[in-house]
Amino acid sequence: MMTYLSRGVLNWVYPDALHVIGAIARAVGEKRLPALNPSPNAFGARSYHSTVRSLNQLAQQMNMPPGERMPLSFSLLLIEPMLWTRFVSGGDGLKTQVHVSRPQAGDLVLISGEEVIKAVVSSRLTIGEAHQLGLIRLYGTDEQVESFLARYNRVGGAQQSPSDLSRLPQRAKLR
Amino acid sequence: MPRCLLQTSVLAGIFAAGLVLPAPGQNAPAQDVGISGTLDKDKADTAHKRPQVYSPYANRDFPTRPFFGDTHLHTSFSMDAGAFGARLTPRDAYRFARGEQVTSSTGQPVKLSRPLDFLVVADHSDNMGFFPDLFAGKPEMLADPTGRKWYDMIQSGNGAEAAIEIIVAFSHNKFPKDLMYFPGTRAYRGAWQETIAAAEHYNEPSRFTAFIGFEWTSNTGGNNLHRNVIFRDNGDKASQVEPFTVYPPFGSDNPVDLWKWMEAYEKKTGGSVLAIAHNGNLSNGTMFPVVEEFGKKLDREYAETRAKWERLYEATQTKGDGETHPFLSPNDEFANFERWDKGNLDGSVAKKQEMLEFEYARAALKNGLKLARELGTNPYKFGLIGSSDAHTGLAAMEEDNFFGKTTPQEPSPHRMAATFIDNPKTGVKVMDWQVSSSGYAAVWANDNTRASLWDAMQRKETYATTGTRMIVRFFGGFDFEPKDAENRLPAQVGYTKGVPMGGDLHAAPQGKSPTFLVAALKDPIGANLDRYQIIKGWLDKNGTLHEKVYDVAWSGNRKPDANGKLPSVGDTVDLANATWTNTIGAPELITVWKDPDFDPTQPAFYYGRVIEIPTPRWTAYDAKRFGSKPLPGTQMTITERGYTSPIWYTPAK
Repeated sequence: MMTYLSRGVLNWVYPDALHVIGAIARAVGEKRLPALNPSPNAFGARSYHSTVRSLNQLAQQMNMPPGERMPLSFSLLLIEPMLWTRFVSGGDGLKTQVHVSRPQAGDLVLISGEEVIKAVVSSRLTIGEAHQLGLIRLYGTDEQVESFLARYNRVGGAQQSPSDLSRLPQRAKLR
Repeated sequence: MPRCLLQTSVLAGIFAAGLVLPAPGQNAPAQDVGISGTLDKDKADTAHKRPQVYSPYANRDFPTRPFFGDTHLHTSFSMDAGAFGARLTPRDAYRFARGEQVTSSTGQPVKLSRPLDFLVVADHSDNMGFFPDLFAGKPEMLADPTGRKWYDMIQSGNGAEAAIEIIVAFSHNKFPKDLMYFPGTRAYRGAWQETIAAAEHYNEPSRFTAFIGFEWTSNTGGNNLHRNVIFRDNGDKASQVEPFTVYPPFGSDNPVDLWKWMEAYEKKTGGSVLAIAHNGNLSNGTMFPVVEEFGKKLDREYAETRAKWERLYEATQTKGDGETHPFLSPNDEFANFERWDKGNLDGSVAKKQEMLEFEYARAALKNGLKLARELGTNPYKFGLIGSSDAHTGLAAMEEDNFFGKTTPQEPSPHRMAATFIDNPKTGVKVMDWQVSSSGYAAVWANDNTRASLWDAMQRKETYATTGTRMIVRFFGGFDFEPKDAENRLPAQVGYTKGVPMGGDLHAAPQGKSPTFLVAALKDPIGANLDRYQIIKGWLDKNGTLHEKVYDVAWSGNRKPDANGKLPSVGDTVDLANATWTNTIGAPELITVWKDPDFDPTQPAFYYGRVIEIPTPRWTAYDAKRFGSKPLPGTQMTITERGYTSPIWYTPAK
């Protein structure tokens, strides 16, 4: 019940944040995202580790090559387990702080789902596509949102870093 | 055993008219009969003397169709619904019920298969409108230090913590007094006036009825004693008061005080209100007391007052079915249906078997007979309706279009596996898949207006459905004959020779037993019917209560076995594709049944239960849609059903 309250209040704190549930439902129904194997728990130990692995992979993919601009710090909430993760920009790139209690004040906030992140890190979906489909919702200043999308729009398109993405052909459609 | 089956689908259409339209020359003053709920021979005779005209539908004055609606729907104005993420307002709820497509609070387009005929937005009266105002940062909210703190928490990204603080403070009665949306405050008045304004805006007589209402939410100890209050009146009267609440100093958790408030409303405005008791299955044995309530012994005044104000009972809704329970009705093969019997509303106290008798409809109807003998009045002489209790603003209770009980339970690949209530201390655990896609209220009214629908509720000419829109007739009298079931327009016969559901039969004529003309027609886009049953409860001279289920009409050529048990209708559900076929069952059932066990000295009640053939449950549609695998034990099929209001038999004194 408390998870429901935490999830429910998101819809007010981050207006229409729960629309990501509808977007995921649509994407799964249309086979854009894989079906899930339900678990009676938010996630079992195994799927928790799998989720953490995905988050770390996402941080790696978002890291810039040496010499590029510093990556942006932001906070990501995975809606199913209500798991907050901070992506912290430092000298050695983006690092994750998984299972933090809340986003840091001033952070750009991303609301998404576990399968969305897994699809991104497995190159089945770019962040830009996910954003367009409502599978990732962004909350911050206009500048933060624009900057984030400008940098990470094509993450998930391939295994290359963002700096390489401009040389990649556009993907025709989601797989 | 009398039974009649008319399977021809062509005839079904004709029969539809029979259920809703009178026979040629039918001109009985059925409205009088229906409204009184008591057959009046003089009036019936007078009716027959009216000049007959060619059109069978001319001069008809009894209810000819049931109107379907929801008497129990929450929007973002309810504190818990808001906390669960509902963003839809009362206006959105009415628009949706009228048949418009809306976007749900999870961003999903949604529309009903068919518009509903009426809706009661019944938001919780305590703190009505609080949540939208808090998040909007209304000045009244920010003037209070705690309100300011919560708002700042929200703005700084700690909204979830703020929400939990709010809910905990509220549930532990530690809510800041100055922040309570009490009756009499400007903020509360604003929320109530907007509730009224929404209903006024969308109320369209003869097309769609938007009732004004609220839910009084007594929940002491986690035991659900909620009541939905419905106004017959328009905004001019309803706006003269503000809803009765639970929290002190203005409110009370005792239903007796709610009834006093209702009395005061009628006295002040000249208007009319009724209350519908919430499904009692989460009251932990407190919804239908037989000895005392709130420390006061039940007496005649209690019985009379409750019977006066609580005309209807919510027999089925998203939090489970409340008709009966296998423990109470071990011989009823259909009793194990959509059960929620683990504990009370918040899971703080586990269920004990001895509680069940005082929270299910059939047991209450039985105990009512006994209390009537002891107190002189039956406090539990209620009719039956179903409604949703959805907290989404969406009265979407179709299995293939189920939008859940709360916003996080709207369609998603996850909802079948999620946990709704889990209290490790008490062991009370309810999974989301156990949420029931139920139900609707069917009301036999003359017109689709507030007055006409409310009057029908008042006289209990209603039935509950679990979400299907089957059409069900149920008439009782002493003179129905088998040939009455051959009439293609049974309503006229029913109203002329008997009383409709919700009515009374008194003092059986010498040598006669109650007879019942029953008819049911499938939902036009739904499943065929398995059987029509009559459930009888009675009190013998020794003060012992009894119940019995009679199969009175069924599909096919099935024969009851030596024990009287009717074989199963079968099952055509294709789970993989979430579909079924109407190759079994019947589109319509009609018969006349005579009570074979009647004793004229024993008070009794009779109500109809109509069962559909098995169909896919919402979980099956989800599994198909999302390709997800259900958890072990997940119920994947359902036998939708309808429960009529009873007809009571009272012996001669």
